[in-house]
Amino acid sequence: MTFNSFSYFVFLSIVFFAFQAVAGRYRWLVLLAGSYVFYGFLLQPALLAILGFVTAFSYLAGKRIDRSEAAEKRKNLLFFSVFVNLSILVYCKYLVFLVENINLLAGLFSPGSSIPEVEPMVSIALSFFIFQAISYLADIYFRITEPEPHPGLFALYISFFPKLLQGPIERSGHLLPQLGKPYAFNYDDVRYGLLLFVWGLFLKTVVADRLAYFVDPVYDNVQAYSGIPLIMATYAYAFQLYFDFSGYTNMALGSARIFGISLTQNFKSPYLATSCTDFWRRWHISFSRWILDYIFQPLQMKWRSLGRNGTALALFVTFLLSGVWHGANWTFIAWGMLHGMFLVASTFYKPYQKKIHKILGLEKSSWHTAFQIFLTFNLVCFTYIFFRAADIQDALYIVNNMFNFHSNFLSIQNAGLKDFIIKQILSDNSKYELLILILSLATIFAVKKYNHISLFDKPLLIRWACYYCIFLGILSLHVSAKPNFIYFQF
Amino acid sequence: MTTEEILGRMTDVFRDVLDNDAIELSRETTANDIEEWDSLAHINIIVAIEQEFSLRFDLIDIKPLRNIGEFVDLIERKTS
Amino acid sequence: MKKLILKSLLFLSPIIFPGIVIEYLLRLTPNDYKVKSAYYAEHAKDIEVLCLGESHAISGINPIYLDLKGFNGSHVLQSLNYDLIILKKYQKDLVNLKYLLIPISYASFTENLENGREKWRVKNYFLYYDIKKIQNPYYYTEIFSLPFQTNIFRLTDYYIYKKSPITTDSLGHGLEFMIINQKSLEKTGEIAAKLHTATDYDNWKTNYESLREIISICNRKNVRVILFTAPANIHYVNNLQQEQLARTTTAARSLASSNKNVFYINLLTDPGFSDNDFYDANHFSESGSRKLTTIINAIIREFEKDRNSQRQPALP
Repeated sequence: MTFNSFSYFVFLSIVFFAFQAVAGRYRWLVLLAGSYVFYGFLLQPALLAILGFVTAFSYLAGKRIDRSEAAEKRKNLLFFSVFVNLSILVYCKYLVFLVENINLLAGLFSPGSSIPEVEPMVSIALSFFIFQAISYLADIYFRITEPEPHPGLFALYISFFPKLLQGPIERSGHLLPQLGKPYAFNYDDVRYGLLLFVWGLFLKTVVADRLAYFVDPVYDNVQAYSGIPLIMATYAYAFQLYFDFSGYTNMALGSARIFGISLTQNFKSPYLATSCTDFWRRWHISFSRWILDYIFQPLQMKWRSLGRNGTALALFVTFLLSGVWHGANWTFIAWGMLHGMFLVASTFYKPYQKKIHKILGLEKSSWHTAFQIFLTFNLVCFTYIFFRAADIQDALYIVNNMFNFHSNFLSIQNAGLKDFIIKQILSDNSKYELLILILSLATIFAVKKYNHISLFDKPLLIRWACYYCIFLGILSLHVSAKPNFIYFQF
Repeated sequence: MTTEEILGRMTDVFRDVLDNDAIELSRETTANDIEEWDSLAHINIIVAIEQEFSLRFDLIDIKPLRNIGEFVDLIERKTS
Repeated sequence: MKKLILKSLLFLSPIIFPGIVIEYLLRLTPNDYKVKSAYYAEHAKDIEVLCLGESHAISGINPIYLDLKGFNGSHVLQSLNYDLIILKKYQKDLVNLKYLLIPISYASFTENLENGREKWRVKNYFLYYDIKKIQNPYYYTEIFSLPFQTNIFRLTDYYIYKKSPITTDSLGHGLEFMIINQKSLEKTGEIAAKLHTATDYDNWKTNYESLREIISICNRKNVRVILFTAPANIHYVNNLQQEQLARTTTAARSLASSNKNVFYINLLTDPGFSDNDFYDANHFSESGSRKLTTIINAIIREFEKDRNSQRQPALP
């Protein structure tokens, strides 16, 4: 079940009451059982088996690494256990893609030869919990953390249902102590958690899914458009993706908070970033910290003799792999490479940029900051063309045609700006949707300004009025056709 | 070498790499305390420290460090 | 903790009470399923010709053009497995049933109401036909079966704007397919054909077995089953995928040849139907349904003449 379904609400209530009813020593068991039931609802027994295996294997591997003294042995154990985990991920997620591309290559060299096609496998959540297991093993190797002795708590650490499907990717040092702490019922935690959850639900079902109306018609049929519609759909997608994923993250954090667990913040106003580097400190934070700590830093360390080139290479490889992680499609790899290139460029020009800013006195200028934000946002949106497009051809079509404003006169088929506005934006349906979007965005802006916390200081009537408003808003304005979160497929 | 000496030489390195003579280091200082300390500066600092003390670090030495004090202890261990 | 439970209950009550009221009001609104199940309850014993099936039957079969007492029990997207459920429910009461009409359309074997694009209609069978085999608990209620906004619009349409939700006449024939509202045959043909083209045949077995069971029930009751592939406009026919169409008509033909009580007629490309006989590319206007029902009626007449013989009738 996904977070935005009535059955999840029922499930959460049952788990919550069971959690409260049970004696302290067994509370982790309730959450663990609940997590496996939650994952089981996907009706994919293979996934449950993989979760179990990865958990057991990583638990034992962690203990072995910690027990070993010799540096060489620890390293070998780490590499071996990481290799096993990654192999599972590659097999489940990337085998189809690899086979397809191998066949493509083989076809070039010796036409007619091919290895048999493979059936795609459902791989929801794998990328997240396998990465989390790897971070656990690496942290033990680096002596940043101790292995968790309690197998049940460890299993819960890996499978905890609020974060199971789409993260955040939790470090053992952050989540395990919380799971092990004795629980004391906290009314504010429950209240805040519920509010956070409902707010995330609003962002996802009312705002993100509604933005899809302005994205899908274009991206599902790019050849029919050129010029501004392509640009607008990309901007709309930037916000759809953000509200979808941060909505999910709010629901995850809210669900965990109900049980007194604080998960990692995944977003910090990402579109206010002043550079791509800054963007990655604000977007999908648990993931970017993961690739920073476990891919970038080791590579950078390894290539440190190459100086700045070493760092640049490490950045590029890291973001290339990040693209791969997001999906078995060349578009994601292209997206990763673009970010890699932007970051590589910045390592080279940043020192000069700093000096110039100092000389021109731009450091403190708010106009300059606004410009940087605008520029960064557009760079990020450019990369989204590849992230969202169905394939490379579509992405390249958009890149080639998005500034092509003249085609209305050349081709009858291409929907120019006027057509797009009339049919997509101002049609009867769309006017209504656009209005709701504008109102929602205004609400979001107000909320960001005033922050959830101050709501709890207000008298009961005002609080409850807000709750009822959000509830009614979700109930009457949610978009029902689209069930799944965008990051679900990773 | 005493820890004060190590700290002193480290401070010189930091000031040099980060191009900021106002930097002061104490045992409790962390990366968050120093504005210019980003991932590029991070590796440059490590390389410069390696050169300064004629050492070679592995990632496993660097990763667990939480503050300057632990870094100083690491250097002390490696040079003794 | 107690505070939480109390406050939650207090918070939820202004949600639960209106919810119950909305559910009640929704169940009170009239709909085609209530109308048809009420007809069965009162008149099942009089029905001599029963037509089941989906929208092709709703628009195509008008019982007033039948000699015998007919009733059109079809519903939107009612697939063969649900035809079977209806038949099973009323088989004891249909004592005078002589003919069962079932449309075999391009998608009859590939679409299943339960996993189709409007699977929420399952709730209508649960609530108004009193058929309890439905598994998904959402569909035990009105309020959870459709999006909230839709339900509110249904209530405002009926209770405030007084729009009647009934779309069929007293004998079950569809009222909305009027020639003056004719849609673009070209556009609807293309869209409908695309919609009805299956991406897999997962539902085939269920539907086929259901039809076989329908045939065997009718055999026991000495009821003749008339399977018909209704005519459709050229713009629909031209966009059909040949394999799916061939499999469907072949299946119907084989059932007809292996069962003495089954008759199959394929009218898909019948030249007797012009553009004016269609409301859209695959639904009939008033004149179209008259023509189609008349053809079926002629078939029935022939069968009536040879009621207890095995000879196939000559077609008109």
